[in-house]
Amino acid sequence: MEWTRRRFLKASAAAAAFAAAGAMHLGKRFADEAEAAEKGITWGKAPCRFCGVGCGVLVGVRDGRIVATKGDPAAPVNKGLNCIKGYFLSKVLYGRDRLTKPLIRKGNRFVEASWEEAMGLVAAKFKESIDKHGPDSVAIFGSGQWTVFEGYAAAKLFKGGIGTNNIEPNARFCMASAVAAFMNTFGSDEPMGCYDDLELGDTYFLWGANMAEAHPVLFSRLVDNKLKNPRVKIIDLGTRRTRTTQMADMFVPFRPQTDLALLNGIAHVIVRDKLYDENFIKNHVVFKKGKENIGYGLEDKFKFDDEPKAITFEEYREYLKPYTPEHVEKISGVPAKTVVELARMYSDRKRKVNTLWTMGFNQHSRGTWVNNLAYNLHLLTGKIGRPGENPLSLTGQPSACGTAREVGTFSHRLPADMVVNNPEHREKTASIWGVPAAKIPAKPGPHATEMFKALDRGDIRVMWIQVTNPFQSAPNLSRYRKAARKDGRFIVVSDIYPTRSTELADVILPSASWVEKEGVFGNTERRTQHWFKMVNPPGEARNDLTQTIDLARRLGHGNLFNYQGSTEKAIWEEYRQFTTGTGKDLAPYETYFKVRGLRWPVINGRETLWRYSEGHDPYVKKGEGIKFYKNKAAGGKAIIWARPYEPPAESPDRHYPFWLSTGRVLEHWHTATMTGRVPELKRAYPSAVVEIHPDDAKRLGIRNRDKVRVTSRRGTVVLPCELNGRGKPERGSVFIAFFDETKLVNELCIDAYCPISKEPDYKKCAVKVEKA
Amino acid sequence: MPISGVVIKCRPEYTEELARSLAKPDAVEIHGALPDGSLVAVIEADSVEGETQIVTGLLETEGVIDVRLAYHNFEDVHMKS
Repeated sequence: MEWTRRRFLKASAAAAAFAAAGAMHLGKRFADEAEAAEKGITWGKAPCRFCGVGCGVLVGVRDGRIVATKGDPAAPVNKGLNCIKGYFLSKVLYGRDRLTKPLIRKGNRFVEASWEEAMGLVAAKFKESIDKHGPDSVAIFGSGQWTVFEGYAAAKLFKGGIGTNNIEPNARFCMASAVAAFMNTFGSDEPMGCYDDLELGDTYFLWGANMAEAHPVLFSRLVDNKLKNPRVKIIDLGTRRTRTTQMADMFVPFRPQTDLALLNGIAHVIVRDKLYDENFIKNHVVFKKGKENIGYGLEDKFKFDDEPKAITFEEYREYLKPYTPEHVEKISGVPAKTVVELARMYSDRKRKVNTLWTMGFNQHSRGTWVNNLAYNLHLLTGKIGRPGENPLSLTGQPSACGTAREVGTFSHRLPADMVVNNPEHREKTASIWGVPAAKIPAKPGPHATEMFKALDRGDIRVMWIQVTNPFQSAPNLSRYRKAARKDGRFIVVSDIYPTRSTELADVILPSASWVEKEGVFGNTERRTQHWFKMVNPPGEARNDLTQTIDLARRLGHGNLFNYQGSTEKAIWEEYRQFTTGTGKDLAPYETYFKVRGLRWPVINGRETLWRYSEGHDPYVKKGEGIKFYKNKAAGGKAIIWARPYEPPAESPDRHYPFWLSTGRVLEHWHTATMTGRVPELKRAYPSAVVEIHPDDAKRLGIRNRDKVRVTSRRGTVVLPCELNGRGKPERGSVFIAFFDETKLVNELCIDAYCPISKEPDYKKCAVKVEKA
Repeated sequence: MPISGVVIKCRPEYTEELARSLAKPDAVEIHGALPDGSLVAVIEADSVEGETQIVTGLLETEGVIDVRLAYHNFEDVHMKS
């Protein structure tokens, strides 16, 4: 790069950093050079392509290419700063092996084809299977990284056109437990609080959530709050020390799965010592109990329906009696006095308490229960629906909320919290879609794990996969990888790079990514964010939305997509009808063009920061205070669920004496298809390691960085070990991140799931560890 | 040669020392310290991986709480042949 240009760009970089740090005046001396650097670059806003935080980014385009990104100073989420993954926005679109042409499998090779040929083949396979074996023999597996349009089109085609509920998102693997608990506690999905709570509160309980690496910008807001206000406390509860732990005031390790016991122990003390808010409970809470001993979904076609039973506060008090601090200590390893201390902090009237969680709670064989138990603490103490005091379920993917959950791209769902097995919901949906109500099946389709089991059995023969990589990310992976290549199966994968899923496909369709198409995402705090198309996709790559509509036309369902003018706008205005008057109201399309997103419900152009709260949520009438108005059956009250501790599906034993947990690292997004592209310069492909406690390593004769073999009943992997990484497991536990496509750690994971949410438990299975 | 502008959040008692020790020619240029102890820096490297390696190193330095990205220019990074 020419020296003058470099100087100008460094000036831009410094100026932007000063501005983002709130000290624009200190960067004034760079102004002229920064301006010169910016010549020819057009900037457009977009939410970041990566996680569920939904940071604002300004994307700089020159000559049809993205040449720069900036944190968006006007974005309330992140105020001009991104996390380290922001660096990879430069690479999402420009890896060398970007897919640019449709590919059709011929034996062990892929041959380039035209779109006409590829889509003709895909449509023929769909049609053949539907004709011979019925609409439930085909399926689509989509994504919390789908734009709202892509998810909506897929749901409309499959449920309203083909007439099957066989649509599932990868969000079944990450947020389903959170959703199930939102629904059975509050009658409506998604948080009542928002990111403003990160500055307004003073006590933050982080449960099984490595926020420093998985939600870095939110964590930095928490840390900023803490550094400004010494009163602020961060309590990190988990099964392993992480970078998050370093900034916490207190670390509380507990044995895997015993979060259930610990939460009940805290509730026990709150109730025992009368630390609860009696008035709040009287006015806003009812108590329920469900089925127990509910299994783990390991058998094919496993079925479970909960049986809620109303109970009294007295019965709940009785229920909690066994969860004494001493008993909880025995189960969880958390000292009895710590249980009491936590209960006191939760109920301290002078503390504004928040609970935050993600995968530790959700990817859990009792994920719905543990979410319920977290809400119990806020409902007992009345610390909910108030600025600075809320439970906040953190979302992993950029649009698991906006697309998968809000549009309802699940086998049992319809848009706006509605479900297929409710005839009124089917009526309403059919009327907006312009299809006969009878078209939408009443019976839910299989959830994701069961969908892949169905593919294995041959009940599902044709599967389209869009914007996700299940043949690297599914649990008990080997079974499903083999399933994809069985005779009589036809797999179509739409993606932007070759992945461990495209390699098993029969047809690969090159897709557009991020700002190569117009899009809308919805983040953790209900903020819906829009972006315009800014650059063209490469080669012949096409928007997934276009691909889905193409299939619709070829299958005779083109009438579902006969929109006038902009397809995106037409879809938005049609979809928006589902939300009007429901408390999930979305604004007219153009509203989102200028603003940095709006948090729904949006009424008369005004967003809602705190749901269910008088003065904040327009659906709450004057004098009502707090009203969980979506729980009509419960008279606008929330549910405290009595749930027990139950052990995991598989615990360590003599043969497999270690716990295995899996998860992410800061630098890599999920299966690293976007963040891990091998660069120009020859560099070792980033490799996953197994974190192990030094005492365990010593006992096994393993030294730091030695190659180690980790084996479960389902699979095995060899990789270097790390004794002193930024993640430090407890004795008897190991941790492996799942980003590395050469180390398919999910082959070791067990496909046990929460029977209520159907979300698999990626955090607990039994393995043995030996020197390789 | 990609170039980025970052805000390095430091524990205030480390700011002065870090302003000296983090600076590295053709890699990390410190442009100022802020009242809250943050440092504004410009990072350059041969590749995006090079930049993220530098940032990872910063994140692992004692006294550094966080590194946040304000600006990233990669106009001359040739990813496609």
